[in-house]
Amino acid sequence: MASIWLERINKNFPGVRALIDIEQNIESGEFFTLLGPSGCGKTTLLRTIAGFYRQDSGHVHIADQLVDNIPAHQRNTGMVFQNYAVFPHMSVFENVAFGLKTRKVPAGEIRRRVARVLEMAQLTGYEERTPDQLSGGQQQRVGLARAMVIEPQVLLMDEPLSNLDAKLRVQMREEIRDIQRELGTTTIYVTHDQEEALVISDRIAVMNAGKVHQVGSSWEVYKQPADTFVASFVGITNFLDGTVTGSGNGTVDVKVGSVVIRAPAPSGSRDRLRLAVRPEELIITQQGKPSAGVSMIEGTVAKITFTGTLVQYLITGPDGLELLVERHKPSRDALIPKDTAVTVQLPLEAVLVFDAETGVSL
Amino acid sequence: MSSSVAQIPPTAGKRLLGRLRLDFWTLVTIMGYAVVILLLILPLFNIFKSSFLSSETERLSLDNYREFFGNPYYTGAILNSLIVSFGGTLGALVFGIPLAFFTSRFRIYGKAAISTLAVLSLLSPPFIGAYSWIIMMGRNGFLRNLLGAIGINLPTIYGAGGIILVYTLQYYPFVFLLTSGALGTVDRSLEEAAENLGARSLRKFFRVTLPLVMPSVSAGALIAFMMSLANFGTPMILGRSFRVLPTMAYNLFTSEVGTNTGLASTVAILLIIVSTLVLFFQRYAAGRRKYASALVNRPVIKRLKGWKGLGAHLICYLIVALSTLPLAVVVFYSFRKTRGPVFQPGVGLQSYAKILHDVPKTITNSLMFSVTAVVLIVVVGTLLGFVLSRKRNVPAAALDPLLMISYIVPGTVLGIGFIVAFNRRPLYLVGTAAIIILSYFIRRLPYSVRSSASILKQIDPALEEAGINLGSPPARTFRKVTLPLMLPGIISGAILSWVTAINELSSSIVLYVGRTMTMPVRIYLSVLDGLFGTASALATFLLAATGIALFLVNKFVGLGRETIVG
Repeated sequence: MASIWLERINKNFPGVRALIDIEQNIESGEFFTLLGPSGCGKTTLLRTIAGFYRQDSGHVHIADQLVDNIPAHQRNTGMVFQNYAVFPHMSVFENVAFGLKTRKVPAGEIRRRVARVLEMAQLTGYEERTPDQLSGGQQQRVGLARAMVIEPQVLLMDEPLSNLDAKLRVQMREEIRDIQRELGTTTIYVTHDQEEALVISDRIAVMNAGKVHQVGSSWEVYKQPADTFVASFVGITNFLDGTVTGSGNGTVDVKVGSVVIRAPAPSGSRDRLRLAVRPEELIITQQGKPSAGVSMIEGTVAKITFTGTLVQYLITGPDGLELLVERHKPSRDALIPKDTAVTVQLPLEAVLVFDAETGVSL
Repeated sequence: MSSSVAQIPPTAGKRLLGRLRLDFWTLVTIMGYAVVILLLILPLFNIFKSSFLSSETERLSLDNYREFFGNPYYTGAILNSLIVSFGGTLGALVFGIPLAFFTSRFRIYGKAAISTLAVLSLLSPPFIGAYSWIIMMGRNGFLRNLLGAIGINLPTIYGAGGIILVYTLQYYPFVFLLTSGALGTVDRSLEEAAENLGARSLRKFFRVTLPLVMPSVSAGALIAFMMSLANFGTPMILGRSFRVLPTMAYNLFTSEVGTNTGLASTVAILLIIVSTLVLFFQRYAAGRRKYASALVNRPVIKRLKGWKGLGAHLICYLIVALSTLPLAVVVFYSFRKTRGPVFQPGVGLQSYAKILHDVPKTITNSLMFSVTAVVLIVVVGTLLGFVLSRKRNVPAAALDPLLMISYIVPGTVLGIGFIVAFNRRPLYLVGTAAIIILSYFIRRLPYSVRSSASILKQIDPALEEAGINLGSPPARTFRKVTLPLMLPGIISGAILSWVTAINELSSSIVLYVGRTMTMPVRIYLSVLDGLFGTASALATFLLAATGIALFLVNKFVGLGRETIVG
């Protein structure tokens, strides 16, 4: 097991600042995810750790050892690739044994270790198959087994599930999580899938345009996003821009168009704020009965989307205001038809407050 | 978890070794530059210099160029060269593309035989094809006599038409091999998508399939053009008063009535300029259409029924038959009874007895030179191909256009350049086997580099990264991962290289001395001396040797048709 310290890493590609002052500790045994849209630098960072890229400045430390000058093949990281990168001219056994052979491990031990890791990856019996006889999921299991068998200090996973179909993706991420827990290998996992990141990670670093916006547990990045980028990238969020019109007991009143919304008071005084509310925090009712301390917006149902576990309503309010509202475990009777006039309640504790200019959480 | 296995102690020695291994590709790049400078730039610079040296005053001047452009006798050669080269290329496309398309998309019986015969027709030295057509369609050709008897008058085989015919039949296999290779990697769904969008077969072919394989088609056409432009033997035999640039350069350089190295160099430079322009045009045209393809669904091979099936078979067989005909005639004539230089009625082995008795050394020379050259070509070409396609640094990128110089240097020109460059110490190579081997090597090297680079484009770099990531140093990863995946392509490239090396005439005709004479040179001299029996027997020997080589590769490497097609 090994901890990782990324020390002020910068990396430029022609015309692009791929990584900007990345400073991050990853603890031994941690499942750490780099989450962000494509082009945010997450894969660049992973490949820098693997030694495929050389950073322009800053340092990579693995297990308290500076590895900047250690070439990729001596870093002892196990990488799992997006397109599997299973050697097509080798059998499953040969693929998995590759890293052990290069380390001159005795043949008997190779057989033992390959057998053990194949069992873990549920590939026992597939030893002699060639990759073209395997499904995508099986190929990725070979990729994982091949990376794990060398007992790497760090496991690096570059969108390993993105080429698999949705169901397999869900199943595989559980398996990866279980194997990682069992072996305790420090793991850095790259994905653009926020749900995958929330499910699988101990901690998540949300990245955009070469910068880390927030590092935290799944709970923290979802419930307490550090800025509007994180709030919008992780999960779905309604944003409301408004002007502070008054303040009270730990609260402020923010005028958004013609409605006034009460929000928790930010630290420091601001005139303009950006408010954010998750769709599942909003309460939708057909009879607008006002209750104390709850901001309300009148509107009509413009669109209904049913996904099985929940119903999404798109509500249009005054001045072109739009709100997405989710209701879980919908019952057929409670479905609200299109064009119905409704009232949306915004509970005070559900409203997140950001600086309107910088987008930083206040 | 313990990571005892892979913990590499950072001792100074280990680290140094690691550095050196990482630098393996740097060494390869340096070697690439050494090869280019020594074998291309140095000879060409000498030719360039000599073209500006007045033959009278030995001073820098434009005399040679003035003389060339002032004389229609010389300038006409440029036009002639262009006519036969474009004609030959067009013919190669007209024959090569349909053959490639039919054999890779439809079930054609005898596909393996078609491929083999196509490769075989690449084989015969083109002037043997020329000679064969004279046997058939010359003044007293049997075909002319046969058809004349029933009132059909064949056009003359001498001049531009005959040369174009020989080029077409000689070079269409380049287009065929490259195009069918590319057709095999066009994802089926692309053609299906076109069909789904309502495109009928012809439209589908011209709007989707052909554009997708266009880079390969134009690469094949470029080879055909360059080969035609540089061809020396065919116009020497069929041209008579129809003079092209290579024959003119050769005559000026080796003329018994006073050589004119300056003017020969000027012709050489003009030849290079024409090649360069065409090369740039092809690169410009192909560079704008580059397609990264993910081969998910292999193309299907359809079975054609009825008239369509018959037509497709007929076209394929006809093309191959026409290109095999000259070879068959040569083989047939090699077994004719001879007395001295004269053919007699009946069958006999006199021609073979004669070559074994007279010129056994040429046979061993040819085999040794070509095999040595191919080994060099494959090793250096594969390594440089890797550097070009995987190492994206400036020195590696600059090596590519430098290597391309070899494309544009016809054999005759290179031969002249080698003589001028390597005729004094410490690089005294004139008259050695090495100078011929090196000329084979440098002439084929860019093809090998390109082909291995294009094979590498089909291999996901992540495979190599996976190898490295698993602890395998770059050189070992190349050996264990990349090389095995490249092997089918490398073998097919090696065969093509060997084929061209063993038939090489235009530079060896300049470079040979008595003891380094090769089979093609001997054949050419025999044709000139009217020893047609000897020429046919040697050519048949070449054909047989290559046929066997192809067969062996098929059998032992077990890669079947893909080996040849790449």
